[in-house]
Amino acid sequence: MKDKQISAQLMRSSGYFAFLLIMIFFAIKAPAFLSYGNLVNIIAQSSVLGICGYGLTGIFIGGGDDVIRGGTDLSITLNMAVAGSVIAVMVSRGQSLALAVATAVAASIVIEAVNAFTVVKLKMIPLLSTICMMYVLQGVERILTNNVVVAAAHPLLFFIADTAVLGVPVMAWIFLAVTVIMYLVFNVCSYGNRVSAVGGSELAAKANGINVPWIVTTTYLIAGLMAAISAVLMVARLSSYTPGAGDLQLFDVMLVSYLGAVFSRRYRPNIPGTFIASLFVGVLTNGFTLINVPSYWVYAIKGALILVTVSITTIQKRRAV
Amino acid sequence: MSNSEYILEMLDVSKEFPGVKALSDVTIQIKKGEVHGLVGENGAGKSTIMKILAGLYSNDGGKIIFDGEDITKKLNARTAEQTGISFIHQERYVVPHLTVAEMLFLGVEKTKTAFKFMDRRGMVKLAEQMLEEKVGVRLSGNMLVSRLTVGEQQLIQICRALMSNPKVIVFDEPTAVLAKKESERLFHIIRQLKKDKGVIYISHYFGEILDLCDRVTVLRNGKKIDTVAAADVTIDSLVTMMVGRDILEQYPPKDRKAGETILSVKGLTHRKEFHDLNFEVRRGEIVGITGLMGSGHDKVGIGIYDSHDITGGEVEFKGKKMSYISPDKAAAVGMGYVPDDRRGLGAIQSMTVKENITLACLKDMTRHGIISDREETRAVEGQIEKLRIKTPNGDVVSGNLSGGNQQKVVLARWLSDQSELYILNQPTSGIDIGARADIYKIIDEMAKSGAGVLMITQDIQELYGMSDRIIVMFRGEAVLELETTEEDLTDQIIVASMGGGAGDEG
Amino acid sequence: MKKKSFDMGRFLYDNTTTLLLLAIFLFFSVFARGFLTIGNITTALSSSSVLLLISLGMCFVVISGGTDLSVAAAYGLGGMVCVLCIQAGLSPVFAIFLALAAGAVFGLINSFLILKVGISVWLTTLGTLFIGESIERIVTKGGTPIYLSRVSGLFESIGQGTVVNIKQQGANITIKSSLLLALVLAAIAAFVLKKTVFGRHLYAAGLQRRAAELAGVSAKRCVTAAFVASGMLCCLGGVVGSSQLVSYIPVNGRYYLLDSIGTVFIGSTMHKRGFANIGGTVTGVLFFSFMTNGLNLLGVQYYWQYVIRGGLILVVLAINAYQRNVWALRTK
Repeated sequence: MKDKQISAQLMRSSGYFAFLLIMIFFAIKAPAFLSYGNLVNIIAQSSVLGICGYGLTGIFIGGGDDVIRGGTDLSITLNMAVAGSVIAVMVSRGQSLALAVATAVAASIVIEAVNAFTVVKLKMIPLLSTICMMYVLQGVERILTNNVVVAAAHPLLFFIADTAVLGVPVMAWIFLAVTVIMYLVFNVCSYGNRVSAVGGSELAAKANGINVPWIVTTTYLIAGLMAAISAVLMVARLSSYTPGAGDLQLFDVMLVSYLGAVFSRRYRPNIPGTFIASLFVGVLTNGFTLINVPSYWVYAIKGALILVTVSITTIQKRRAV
Repeated sequence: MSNSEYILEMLDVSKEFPGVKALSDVTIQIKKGEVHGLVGENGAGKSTIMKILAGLYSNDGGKIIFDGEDITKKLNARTAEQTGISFIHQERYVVPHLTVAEMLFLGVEKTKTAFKFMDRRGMVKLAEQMLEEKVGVRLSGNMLVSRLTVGEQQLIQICRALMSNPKVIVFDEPTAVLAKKESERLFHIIRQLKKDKGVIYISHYFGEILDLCDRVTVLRNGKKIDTVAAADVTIDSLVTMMVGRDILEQYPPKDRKAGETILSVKGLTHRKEFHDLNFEVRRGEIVGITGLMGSGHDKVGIGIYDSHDITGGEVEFKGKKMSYISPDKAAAVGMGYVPDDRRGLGAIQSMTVKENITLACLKDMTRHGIISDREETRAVEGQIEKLRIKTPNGDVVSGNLSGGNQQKVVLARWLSDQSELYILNQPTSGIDIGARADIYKIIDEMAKSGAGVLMITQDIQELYGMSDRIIVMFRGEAVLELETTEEDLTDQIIVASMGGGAGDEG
Repeated sequence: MKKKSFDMGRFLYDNTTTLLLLAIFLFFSVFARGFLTIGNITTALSSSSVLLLISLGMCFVVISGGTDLSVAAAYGLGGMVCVLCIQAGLSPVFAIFLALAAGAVFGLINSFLILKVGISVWLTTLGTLFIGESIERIVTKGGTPIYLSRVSGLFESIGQGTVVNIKQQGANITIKSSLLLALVLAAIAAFVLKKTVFGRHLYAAGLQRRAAELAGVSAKRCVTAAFVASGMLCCLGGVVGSSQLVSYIPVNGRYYLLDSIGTVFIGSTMHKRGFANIGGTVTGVLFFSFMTNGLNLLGVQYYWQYVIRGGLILVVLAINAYQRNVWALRTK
């Protein structure tokens, strides 16, 4: 009995252990890794991924375990890409940044509203409807950018990308601020409790008087907002928008949202978990680059990671029943 | 306009489903400050009338008066709680990964700022206080609901229901899943509750009913038999009222001859539902298994057919010991299983009648591996005619048939496969009288053809009318095995299924 | 039709997909110059053989009750294994055999993760999609295409061979052997699904897994077979694709992912009971190739084709979902 508890405890902390081991590995292999500058940089680098991941995490929390019927959004990174190209194109044509960002936010939320409609009203399988949306958005993004890099120079974007306040880059500050707000929304507000209940058992939530369709819809709308914010940071970081930026990110965003479940005592997707997971992925990318491992190996490692984490959570959950 | 003595009155309520009169002019009146028992067999109309009260069904006739106001038109599923009637369902509508406090206040969270931030500490404190005050249990508000026992989860639901301060509370078979100690705690809570509320208590356990209730209403076949004071009746008289004495009529005569043993079960033990079962089924014989909800009797059939949840014991079929059994293996050696949930697990809803009937025996309809349409159609038409399945032809989608006809389709599936042992789980539950008689005839013919039949049922009349031998289970154990005779031994069965003598409150 | 009055609304409702497809075909016939010529139609048909092979694989998995997102990776792996073997000097026959074997193993891995470990179909195939693509990147050092100097023997004929080739008076009628291969396999698949015990059992397992099991169907074996078939068909698609390109281009399979989902689900809306089926899938594939062909002839920009196609599939799937909802209500 005792052994079982210990092993369960070990399993529970397996995510943290893996994180720690990898940190130590990089610290030994690449001395520059542990420098203050690099660590702060990792936080800034993880911001786009993390914020977009929060959007997807919200959908997961409200969507439940059942991956077929449950919530997911494969179009979220393309949504971010469209928002990014809207900002870049408008700024490059001399529109004000405020208007560009406002348009991007509106576009992202409308896109997610369509997703929510197909899922909640038409009762389509989320994966199917959002995969279609993903392809539509892929086209929209190329149309907007004409498939060329769009430069977006704006003092405010420079400020976000290159300035440090109190020794921490502005991007990292924004990331931390969004993290706190999302934490408040999903873990502190009564709303978070209801979303969590809907994801846990739609029937139970309904029986206790929760408006299930509305809750699910709001998780999609919040995801749209997150996609737009991450798009701003993405454009700021490169002072431009590169077409295709959304295609590859999908993998990472799904990874951090699933991986987040490993960093929680309930084995469920959650905001703080996604925060840690995005730092974890940031560390992996950063560290492997420092020791000159080709990027495609990083890919394979992440791919294995997603299957392993999902297996662990599946097995753990089954054991808990 | 209404007698102030009653807090809730259901007057002459009727409800008709296609082909079945589920309720006819049932009147139940609940006084303030009483526990009102509701008993009846499955299908007697208990759950129908409660679903009308919960707003899940609408009634065809009659009216419902609550607190002096006619609320017949106002009932709907969302507002039932707000009207002041709370339900404690048999199913546990809880979210496993929430904490006790989060679950208790789901949808009515305590917040402390304009941003609706939850006052977690306050919620935990209040939750613990509420649980102790309302249902008398000490639980940590931070504990995950999934860590609680079934009984504790139910207490949370009760506590939640009480927080909305209802005037009437309905308990639907609350003790079916509870351990004895938990049941006693529940009775204590109910006795406290009734001081200023009306309580409706539905149960199969007569001991509980007599102990707990002030008055009891008995339903049979959708009609009210009587409402009596609990002090004036005994278990025996309740059983008589509930069952009536018109048994043994619609059942085929028992002129079957038992042959050699086909199935022999030794020490069969389920992961959690039953343990150490020993019995035999012979060719040409119908063996009935019964018990109350939670006694594990309903898992015996699937336990023989699929070893997935079996932890011990052995099954011998046709004289051969079977090691791990999976359904496809069982079907291949000649067993056939008819599940209780015929829409979910029996007939495949969007396949046609033909495809469903031949699903198990399709191999016999092939020539060089190719399905022969002609053979298939001929076989299916034969079955449709023989079993009197009401469908224009075999190409109708099974989901469009009535429950009784879907059940016949599933029976036809195994008949075409010429099974040698039929395991029938609640073969007639929810099926109207006409189709029921047909199904009894089919079951009788199954046995007469030399196959063994194991019939699991909660319907005592059916059990007694059909079976040659009966096994009664109580809390996971076989407590009684008897041969049916001319003499009516149903009382003995009911008493045994409730855990022994009349004095035992079960 | 015994004196039954014709219900127009009902007819439109039941045949939405077919009518939509016809409308699009007519649209192109009228507006796209050169669309309605035998030469163009045979070209459009011949270009659809790879998509048809992958869609057949997808069809099996959809019938088994899931959706295979890893078809894209299986397609890439098939091409990769085959091209690498030929580059290493193995005989084409052996190379193709190895590619098919790789597909079978890929399907087995998928079904192991789904049936034994218990991960959902979506997550499993998403994971194997990413891992498969990573393997492609690793083997090709980050995604460099492998060009072959020439193709020969069976490998050549499987992708480039022609069955009919008529060139006269400006008309150029070509039917590729790959199309014939795909159509023959489609016919076999249709036969297996309609006329064998396995096919019937696969449908049952996909519709109500537990109910099928209780009826004595070896549901797990059926699902495994579906994934193995999918893996092999997709790898064969990869072989045909690389033969046509005389090279292997890594991580190129995603192009077919949505298309194959689209063809199968569009096909299923044409079935009376909404089942995925081979006939519908083939029609779906035709629809896609004609649409690509027509949009190209109209000179629609490549990016817009993405939008139009994604949007159209979304609409068709939405109609399908809507019909299912109505159906569910009707049977209750």
